[in-house]
Amino acid sequence: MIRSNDRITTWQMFILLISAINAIEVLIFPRQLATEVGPDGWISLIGGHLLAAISLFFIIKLGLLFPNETFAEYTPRIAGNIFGTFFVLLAASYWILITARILRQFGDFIILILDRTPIEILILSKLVLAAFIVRYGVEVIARICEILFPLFICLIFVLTMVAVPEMDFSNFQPVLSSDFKSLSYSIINTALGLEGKEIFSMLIPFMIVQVNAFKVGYAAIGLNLVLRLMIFIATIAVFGVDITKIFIWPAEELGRIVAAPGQFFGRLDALLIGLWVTVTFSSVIIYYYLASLTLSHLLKFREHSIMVFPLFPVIFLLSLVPKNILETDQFSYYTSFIFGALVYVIPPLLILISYIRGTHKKRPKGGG
Amino acid sequence: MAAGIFRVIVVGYSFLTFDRMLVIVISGLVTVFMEGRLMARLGLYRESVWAKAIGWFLVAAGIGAWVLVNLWNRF
Repeated sequence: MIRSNDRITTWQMFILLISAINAIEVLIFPRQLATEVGPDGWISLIGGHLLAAISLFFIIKLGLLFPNETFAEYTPRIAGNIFGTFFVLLAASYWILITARILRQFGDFIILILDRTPIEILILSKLVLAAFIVRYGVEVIARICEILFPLFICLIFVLTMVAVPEMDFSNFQPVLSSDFKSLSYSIINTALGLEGKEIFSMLIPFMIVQVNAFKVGYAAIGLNLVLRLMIFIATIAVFGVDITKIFIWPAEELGRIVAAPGQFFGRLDALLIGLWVTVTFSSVIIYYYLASLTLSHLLKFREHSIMVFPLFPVIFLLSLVPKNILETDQFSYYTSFIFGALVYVIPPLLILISYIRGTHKKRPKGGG
Repeated sequence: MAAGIFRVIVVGYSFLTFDRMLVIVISGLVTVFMEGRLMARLGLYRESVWAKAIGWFLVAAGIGAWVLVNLWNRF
């Protein structure tokens, strides 16, 4: 059931998308790119975002074929009950796993300053707050993201601007030194790391002006590319490829060493860690909401809040499964395969089936 | 195969501590008493029944799993 106040504006959708894409990956991706292709990481970023733009087209196109239904509602109609339910369960599992992963990465990150606090407490405190917000629906989530979004943008801009005097652009030489195979692999990895755009499959029915979905999607992907390029360039230009490879959180290290001219600002890492709590929080509430919404639509509940607390222990326990950061990275690697299937395989397949069977022209059973 | 099952049980034992079991049980109770009652008040009786069923299942699963791993540890 979509309540009358569960409506989001185009701007709110844009913010939700940016918030969903940029959870904690922003702090890690310079290391991954430096390890894979060295100074050519910027090419991977551009290529990855282009692939993401292609997949976004299919997701939005599919959503607009069924403008009043969510992924959980139209998929069983298109692919039949068995396959449709399987795809929906896959999406719900993915959103549960990604919530757990972000919470765990958040715990691993925040433990840098709260080193004597058990990780369970860090995760639990965030999850309790997220659960209470998620119960109130997408409009409340969008408003919260609207408040937190400027913090994120300011943080990225301050971090990169303050790093400018320390930058050495010779760190980007030699240009195009990577071979085609490793560059392609890195582009695919970058595209698989851009989780968040799949929120369109569930949130298009909540948009007030649905025809703006394409504009919002591409604007968000564009802004995300700019933000990530800024961080990557700042990190590599300050540290160089070899040092970036050994940092666990390169963007946090950037905050640690840079200082504004005249030492007016220094040790920005504490500020960064503090503010990053808000950034990860936005992502957690979005994915948690999507997981509960998907399952409640699958079970034909008229309220999504019924699934919020049953998912709570599942997410909490899953977030505690990895023993360390390396295992969390592996966790992230495996979830990216589910993401790949959900974003690059299932939407084009569903569009094709829908056009063959003409499902998008038929009204849902019991629908108005 | 047996070694795999044994490993799962041992990992399950070390993973499911009392505090974590408590999280499962509390989530179940919140689902029963908060969501179940709220759904009934909104007139969504089907949802209310489901909330209570899922909630009590979580309570039973949390306590049951904890009792099982403790029994496993004892014998």
